[in-house]
Parts: sequence; structure tokens; C-alpha cells
Amino acid sequence: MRLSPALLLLALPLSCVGEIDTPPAPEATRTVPGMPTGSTPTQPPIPGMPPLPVTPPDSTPTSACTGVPSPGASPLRRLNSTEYDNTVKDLLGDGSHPSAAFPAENASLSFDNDAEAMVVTGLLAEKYLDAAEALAAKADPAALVPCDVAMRGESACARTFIETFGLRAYRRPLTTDELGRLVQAYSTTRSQGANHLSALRTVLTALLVSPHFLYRVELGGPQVAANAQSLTPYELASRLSYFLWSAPPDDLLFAAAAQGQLSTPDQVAGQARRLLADPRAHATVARFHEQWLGLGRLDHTTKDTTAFPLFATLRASMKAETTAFLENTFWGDGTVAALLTSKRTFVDKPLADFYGVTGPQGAALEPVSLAGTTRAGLLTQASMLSSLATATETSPILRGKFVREQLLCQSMPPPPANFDVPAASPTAVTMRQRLDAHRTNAACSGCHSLMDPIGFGLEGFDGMGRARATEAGAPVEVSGEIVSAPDPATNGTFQGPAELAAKLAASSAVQTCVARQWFRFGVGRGERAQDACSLERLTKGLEDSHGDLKTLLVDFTRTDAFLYRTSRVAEGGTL
Amino acid sequence: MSIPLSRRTLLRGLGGLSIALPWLEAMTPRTARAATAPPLRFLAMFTANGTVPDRFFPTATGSSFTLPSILQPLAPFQSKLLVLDGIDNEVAYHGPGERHMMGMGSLLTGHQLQAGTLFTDGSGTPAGWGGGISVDQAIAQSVGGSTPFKSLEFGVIPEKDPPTATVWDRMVYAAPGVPVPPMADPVAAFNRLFSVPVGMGTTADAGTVADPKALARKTILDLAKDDITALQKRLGTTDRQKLDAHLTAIRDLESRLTLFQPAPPMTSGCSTPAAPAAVAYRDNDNYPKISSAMLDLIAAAFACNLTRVATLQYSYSRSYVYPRWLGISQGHHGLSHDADSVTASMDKLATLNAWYAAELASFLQRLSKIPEGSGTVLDNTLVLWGNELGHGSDHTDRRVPFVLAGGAGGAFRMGRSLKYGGAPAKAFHNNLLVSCMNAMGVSATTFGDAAYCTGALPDLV
Repeated sequence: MRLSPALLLLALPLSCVGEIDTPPAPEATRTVPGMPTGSTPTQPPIPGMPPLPVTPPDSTPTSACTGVPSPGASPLRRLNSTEYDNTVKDLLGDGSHPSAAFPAENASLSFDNDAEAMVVTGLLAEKYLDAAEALAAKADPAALVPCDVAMRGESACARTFIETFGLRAYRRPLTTDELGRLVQAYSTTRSQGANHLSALRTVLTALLVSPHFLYRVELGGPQVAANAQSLTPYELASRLSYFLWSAPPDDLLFAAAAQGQLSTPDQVAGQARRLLADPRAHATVARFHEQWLGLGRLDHTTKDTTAFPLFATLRASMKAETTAFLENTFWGDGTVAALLTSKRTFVDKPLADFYGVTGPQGAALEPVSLAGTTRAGLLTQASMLSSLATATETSPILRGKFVREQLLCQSMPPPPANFDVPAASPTAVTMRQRLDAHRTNAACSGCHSLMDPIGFGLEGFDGMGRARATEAGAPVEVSGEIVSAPDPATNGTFQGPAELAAKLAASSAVQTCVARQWFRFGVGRGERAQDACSLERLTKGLEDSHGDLKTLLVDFTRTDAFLYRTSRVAEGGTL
Repeated sequence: MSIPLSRRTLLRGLGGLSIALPWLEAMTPRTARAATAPPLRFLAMFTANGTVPDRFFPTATGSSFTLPSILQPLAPFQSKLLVLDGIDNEVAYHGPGERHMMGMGSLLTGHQLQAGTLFTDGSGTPAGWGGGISVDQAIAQSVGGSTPFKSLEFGVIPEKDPPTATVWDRMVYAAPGVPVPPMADPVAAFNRLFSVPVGMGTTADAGTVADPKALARKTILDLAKDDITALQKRLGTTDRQKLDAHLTAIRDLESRLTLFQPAPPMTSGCSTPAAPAAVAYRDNDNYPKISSAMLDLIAAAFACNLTRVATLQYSYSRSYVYPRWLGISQGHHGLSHDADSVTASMDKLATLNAWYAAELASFLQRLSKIPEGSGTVLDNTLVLWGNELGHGSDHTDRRVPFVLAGGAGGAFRMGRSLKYGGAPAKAFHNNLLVSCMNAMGVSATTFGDAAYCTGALPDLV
């Protein structure tokens, strides 16, 4: 659906072949291969975007925020599988996860909620109808919206059902026209011989395949700037609930919308804090972590059983550790630094034995200290180390690439075309030695210098994350280096995993990247030039709070990208 | 156990979402078939990461040639093969993306990827989805109107990170930027094709209404279409286009539910395959089982005229499948990066690719057992087997391993090895796509990006 291309300041590829540190061309001439150049943006670049624009030393940093709302693109967002399941559970009490029968959800930028990727094609339309019919068949309309048919009559009760249930399904009051057409559909079905409840089920099915249910339609409120519209209170209520709960608004949010209590940024942020304090936010945070960090990779990781006989039995423990670690760390200390450096984790006995720590006695996870081990933070957990590796050995490339892409938000260029991968030196023993060709071969070094030396810092762990001092009898060397980070302060050498973690934890580029990942997840799209102010506020808030992630989430609801939508008129629509 | 399909009724008007409805003894046995030639079918089959060229391409050209080791499993069908050497996916050298996704997105569309920021998490410049309709969908639009399903898409673990999909995982496109997902679960695919879905209107209205479900569906889908149309008027251009895809999907669904009464023509060899056993369809080690089940379903779907167009995607571009059922413990992608001089790796790649050839051979074998007219369904089927790359370690998209298989209704002179290419006359793969369209009776002189298409490939007909 991308006929009008997005502006691509944000993900400019690193140019690997010896030009990594070259400042980008001036804004007006900067182009991206394959992109039309006619619409070169005039907006200022987003701070920290790769490659980093080099600020002349004597210039004063200027804010991207002009006081005029700049919401960026506001594409129509379809409920993804998780949101669909949560929504029908709230609406109908049906916890059957109908989306299990849907085709795989299109994902991009790591997340499964990118609006532009989420189109409806034949198979999905069919599954939506299947699911809606099955849900309606199971539903009890008389219990969903109680109404005394004997006293009020079938027609009045049908109207009440459509109004009441319709508000929940469309997440806003129905328009008069919508109400009329659905009442008509009820009457038509009745006249065809269906009984009252069956006709209500037909209406219910219709609501569940309507675009107003399947998408989060935002027609918006008054225009507030040439390119920005405010949102209606109900639209804001849905933005809040789907952002933090992946679910529709609850009664309190609906009430706030109905009573005009979502009309100031403080009111919106207040609701955000309420939602964040609710247990339902935990599942959404976990979903973010799973996708940002690619935790699902572990489920599909295959290990050679000779090289790693323990992997199959430890896989579940590894997954459980990381899940528990993220849950406890986010909702506890809650900082970016803690995710990367914490010496406290949660393991069962098999994994404790594997790590060489004591405490846990059985299959239950227990908190343990990693003091005295080389482990610290997420990157040293077996789940990450084994899923960022090959079936038979480590992969400094994959580990470095992960840091580069997910923690520094930089994208890697492709390997060169028409090029034979050089064989390693016959005398090479360790992985580090075998990858030496990447350093000495000019065609390789441009890109691999961005990945391999980061991964080298984790060579003290084998292909499934076991600590090791030697590899094939040779001592393992764990010195590494970060080059060409978005901010120069992150660059430099380090020794081993703890220093790597500390370096990343102190990096403003990592903070910026985490803010950007949450932004992508929150708005359901990649960031654009128009999001500069929104991202600047997020990043500043994260710095001011010393990396507090819960503050970041509330701050997100104060951004232009959250509070406004792009003017539909400016996008070619009509009021 | 298989049940003859001629006993069933198909799609009583809007009454059934899937095509098979209750087995009615009273149903008149279907006798008449369209008095024309048997229908032609098209299958596009994908495998990943390029090939080992010197073990794939025959050295001789013409009708007397020896199949190298990778293609050796297809020897029983050599007279029904065209092995094409020298076809370049030139489109994959243009536009954004990295080579695997570029090759995947252009393989069937003939278009470069869309610009965009959707996919930056691999390597290469950021890109969007595929930039055009794929050839199977174009053929389906033309010939698919007479069958319940315009097209059917199947996959064998077709996503790297299920349950999500990315541009690396998609080769079929309904329109620019609109990827079409394949069915990955053999059981769900079987149910969609051959059994009755759970529905409403079966209890409260039993015996009181002729076909309440059909009437209700009409009401429901009419409302959805009206809502979408009304919404489109108010939204911006991009959102309108997104809703266009949705509207088209609903209309296709409706026509499937309304058009097929009575049943469409079927071959005498049409029978339901046995229901596949439930299988963990995302588990690497079940790959052969899933493949076999999907090939059964495609053969049955062709034989029963449920569709004339299908695609089968093995794994995904840049496949990380671990062929452990062949005794190979390394991943496909990793092996494909090894230099040609690493003989052990080339042996493993050849083994895997020969396994794929054997799967294709088993599909041809299935079709050859289904009588149709004076021959078999195989005579009236064209298979296009392609790849997102030519050769893995250098990521070239030139000399892509393409094979055409089947009788193709006599459209091509099969049983030959052909060499194309060489300056100045490049053999673009878009030309091959045009040839496939023509063979399927779709008149076209160009497909995909016209800059890389000079008309149908010579020498095929």
C-alpha cells in the first residue's frame, strides 16, 4: 500500500565501504536509492538517526518542536491478532483466541502492528467471517445486553442491543445512519424467518466483520494545524487502551470519553498512568519485549545435538529466565541500564547449574545474584546467546548485528554482490581467528567491522551460552570494540561482556534507540521526519528520568504523534 | 480413505463458506463436464538460497541431455521438463532492499520492491513490500472465475518467525504492496477445501428457514461492503487503497459463495484426499510431512477443479531450514554462503536441492495418476519452479535455476534443456513469466517492469 513513499531520513543505510564516518550529504541533496527525490523533506533531521549528522561545534542545538502540532502519518490501523483476540474477549467473554486460525500477521520493523503492512486479503477476509460466525453462534445476545422482550417488545430490544453492543464493537457511539442500517438488517433477517435471537446474531456477526470493528478508524476532530487534526475523545480512548493493553477501552475510559475528560494532555497522561498500573499492561510490555528483542527466535532455534546435547532440555528454562527477568526488571527498577547490566536474574535449578550459580532447588524460577560470574544483563542470558548463534557454534556476527540493529537502531547494508566468501585460514582455530578474514579482506571489513568486534566481546560464551575460557583448546579472547555508533561517545574498545553492557547502558544512542522502538510499537509505523519533535520529547524525557521506562510510556501519550492525527484532507480524504 | 467428491454438493448458494457441504445421498450424481478441453492448471513452486549451478544445469542442450545430480529425481518425468539455463532476474538488481528480499519480491511479480521503511531489520537498504501483482494472481484473475477458489496459496513453514511474516516470506501479491499469505497448516488447509466450517443458523432456525446462513451472509457482507465504501470516501489515498484490497477480498468471497451452483466440472479422478494428520506445522523436523500433505492437497484441488492456480512456497527466501531429515545439521542459509570450493557444503546443498526436486517429482507423479480426458491431469498442468537467487555465496540473481514441468496442455515443447542469455540478448525472467501467462491462455506480451521484459521467451513453444 505504499504508493506515496515514506520519507526516509530515518533509516539511511550505513555505507560500509570505507565511508562509515563520512557525514551525510546536506539535507536537500540527501537521497535514498530507489526513492523519488521530488519530495525531499524540509524538516530538520531527527537527532541520532543513523548516520549521525555531525553538528558543527559552534552551533547551538535547536529544538525540532515548533509549537505547531506535527503528528506524522496516521495510517488506518487494523487490529492485529493479539488485539483481535483481546477485543472479542472483552466484548463477548470469549477467550478462544480465534486469531490462531488467521494467516501469519505481516510484521515489519520487528513489530506485528505496523499499519501499512496490515492489509486484508482473501484468506483473512474469509477467516474473519468464519470467526465472526462462530463467535456469534456461541454468544448469548440476551445476556450481553439484557432486555425484557416481554415488556418492551422485540424491536425495542433489538434497537437497544444494537446501540449498546454497537458502541462496544465500534468503540464509539453509532451514528444515526449506522443504527438505522443495522436495525434494518435485523428487521430484514426477521422477515426472512429468523427468530429474534438469531437475527440479533446476524447483526452481531455484521458488527464483527465491519471495518469499524476490524480497524481503529480515526476520522478525527477539528483541524488544529494545516496538517494536523485533533482526535475525538473516543479515538483517544482507543489509542490509550490499545497502546497499553492491546485491548479496547474499559468502562472508565469510555466514561472519560463520554464526559469530555480526555481533552487535555494531563487528562490523557492521567489515564495512561492508570492503565499502566493495571495488570493488563504487563502483557503488552511483554509483547513489546518479545518483538523488539526477537525472543521468539529461541523457539525456532535448532541446535546440533552432538555439539549441544543440553540445549533441548534447557530451552524452556532459558525462555522462562528472560521472560521473568524482563518482567521483573521493567516493573521493578525499570531502567534501560538495568535491562543491560543487572546482576540479578531468575533461574531454575537446571539453568542455575548451567550458569554455575547456586540457590534454586527445582523447576521454579528463583532470584539469584550473578556476582562472581561474567554474566550481566540481557545480552549474557542463554536465551539470547543461543538464539544469536548457529546450530554448531557461536556467531559474533549475529550477536553484533543484534546490538547494532535492535539496541543502536542502525541498519546493516547487504553483502556485496558477485563475491565469493573467502575461506578461513587453515591455521585458524577459534571463531575469532576464523573471522579474521573479515578484517583483512577489504570487501568484508567495511560491514563486518560494525558487527564482529561487538560479538567478540561475547565469545566467552559458547553457541548455547555456556561460559567458556577456551575454544578448541585455545584461549578465548573477549576484547571488542564499537565503531560508528550514532553518537561518538559510544565508540571505543571494551573488555568482555560486563564492559560491553556498561558501555551500552551509558550510551545515549541506546537510550534514543529504546525510545524509538517504543515509538514504533506505539504508533504502529516507522518514524518519519515529521516525528522529530515527538522523538525529541521522548528522548529528553528518558534522559531526564535517568532511563525510566514507565515514564517513557506515559510521555509517549503526550507526544504530537499520539495526541493528533494527520489531516485527512491533506491526505486526500473528505470531511 | 477417500470419499468420491462426486457425491457431494458444492456451495449451495451462500450456504457454505468452504466448498464442501453436507454429503447428501439424494444428490444427483454429476455427469456432465464442460464440453471443452480439460482446464489448464498452473503451480508456481519456490525454493530458496540459489542452487549449485554445475550440479543443476545440464551440459547438453536440446532433447538429448542428462539430468545432473540435483535434478536426477525428476528423471522419470524428463519428457515433461524444460530446464532453463541463463535466465536472469534482472529486476532484483534495481530498487531498494537486500538481494534475498529483492529476489523474492520480484520472482513472481517482475517488479522491484516498493520504497519504504517497513523492512530495515535485515541487511540492505530499507524497503517495502513487493511492487506489483504476481503472475499467479494475474493468471488467476483471468482464468480463476470458473472455480471456487481463484487461486490457492500453500506453504511449507513459509515464515521465518511465525506467526509473523515479512517481505522475505512473501512472493504472492494481489496488488502492489498487498502480500497474499499462504496456508501453512495442512489440517486447516484441508478443512478449508474439503469440509464444512462451523457456522451459525444451525440450531435456533433449524427446520424453520430454507437456508438462514446464506441469507444472513448476504446481509452481513452487504453491510461490510457498504461500510468500507462509505469509509473510503472519507479517508486519504493510502487508506483508500488499503480498503480496496479488503473490498476485493470480500467480493471474491461473495462470488465464491454465490457462483458455484451446481458444482463446477470435475475430473473423473477427483477424490478427497485423506484428512492429513495433525502436525506441528512450524516444527523444522516436520518439513517432509508437511510437504507431502500440501502436495496431496494441491493435486486434489487441481483434480477437483477447486482452483486452476496455486503456489507452493518451501520455507522462505534466505531459508534457515535445517535439513536434518537428510542427515544435515547445518542451516540452509549458512551452507549457501560457503564458497564453491568447500565441497562438503556443496554436497549438502546438492542433497537438499535434490530433495526438493524429488518432492516436485512426487507431485508430478500424483498428477500422472489422475485420469482426465484421454490423458492425465499432469498433461494439463504447468509447474514453474523458481528461486530467489541463482547462487548463494555471491547472492547473484543471474542464472536463476528455473524448471518448467508438466504437459502444459501442449503449450510448450517439453523434454528439453535450453540455454539462454549472453550479451546482447539477455533472457529476463519477466519474459519467462509472460510465457507462463501465454501457456495458461492469458494473452500478454509483457509482465512486470517493462524495462526488464522483451516479450515471451523464444524456443519454448
